Amino acid sequence: MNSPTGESIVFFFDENVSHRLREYLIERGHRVILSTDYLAAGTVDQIVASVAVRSPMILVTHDRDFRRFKELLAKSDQKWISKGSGKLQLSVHQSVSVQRVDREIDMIEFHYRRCLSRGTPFYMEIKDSLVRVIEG
Amino acid sequence: MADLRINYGVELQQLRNVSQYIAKYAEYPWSRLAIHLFGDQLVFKDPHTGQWMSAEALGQLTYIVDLEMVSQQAEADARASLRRASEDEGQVSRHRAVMNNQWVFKGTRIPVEVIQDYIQLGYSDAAILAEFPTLSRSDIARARTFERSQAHVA
Repeated sequence: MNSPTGESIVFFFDENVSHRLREYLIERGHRVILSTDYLAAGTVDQIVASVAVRSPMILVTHDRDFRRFKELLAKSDQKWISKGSGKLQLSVHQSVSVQRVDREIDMIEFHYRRCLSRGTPFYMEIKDSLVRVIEG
Repeated sequence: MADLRINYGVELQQLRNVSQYIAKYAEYPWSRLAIHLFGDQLVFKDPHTGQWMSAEALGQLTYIVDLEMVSQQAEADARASLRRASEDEGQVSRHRAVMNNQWVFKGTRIPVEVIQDYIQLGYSDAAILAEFPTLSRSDIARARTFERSQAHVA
């Protein structure tokens, strides 16, 4: 299985995201970077957010604090928000995250392409039975 | 020697110094001498001691540092410093700026409650560790005994 859009997305995984989702996205043709490879164990939200926005990659997290993503960023960090960056909020349990992302993957890839072409950040939240697309 | 002088800009004095130095080793002509260039600075390997010498200041030893090795070591050290402390395994903690102030396994961003859910769903310890490689068996053991009502903080 490969991304039918041909557009590879770089996902930046918070530590609370399951390993199976990583495997799923890689198999889909995307790239996954683990926050634990670059940040100290147990890093606070603000640092995870700050690192995520500085590169063209989508932060994937289950942490509800990230619903207020922009508030987590210091004013000085907000200017760093790079094209192709953003956040995929998983408001579902880790054990079902692969199934939910699999159901919405076409929309994720479509929204990502749209954000790229518009030059806006990618914000999306996946809940148990709905998806929220937030215009940046 | 002409090549060193013309194409690499090595000062004549440096070449003279090396010639003088190796004159005492008749069996080692220039052609057998191991040399390195750092910009226009010439260093050479003393044929008998094997030590690297500066051609500019004779008698001054030079240490060749393998930067790639240093870089690899620094990267390994940096990665090790990111790793969770082993004494944190099996411990829980809370922090206002980590996972919405839920109880997490100390030194991680993984809530205890999530692992308790996995246990309830019938996942084995090995399957849970495969999902969250930064956890250890002692964390899972702690999740089993941790009071569930305490684990969740809305």
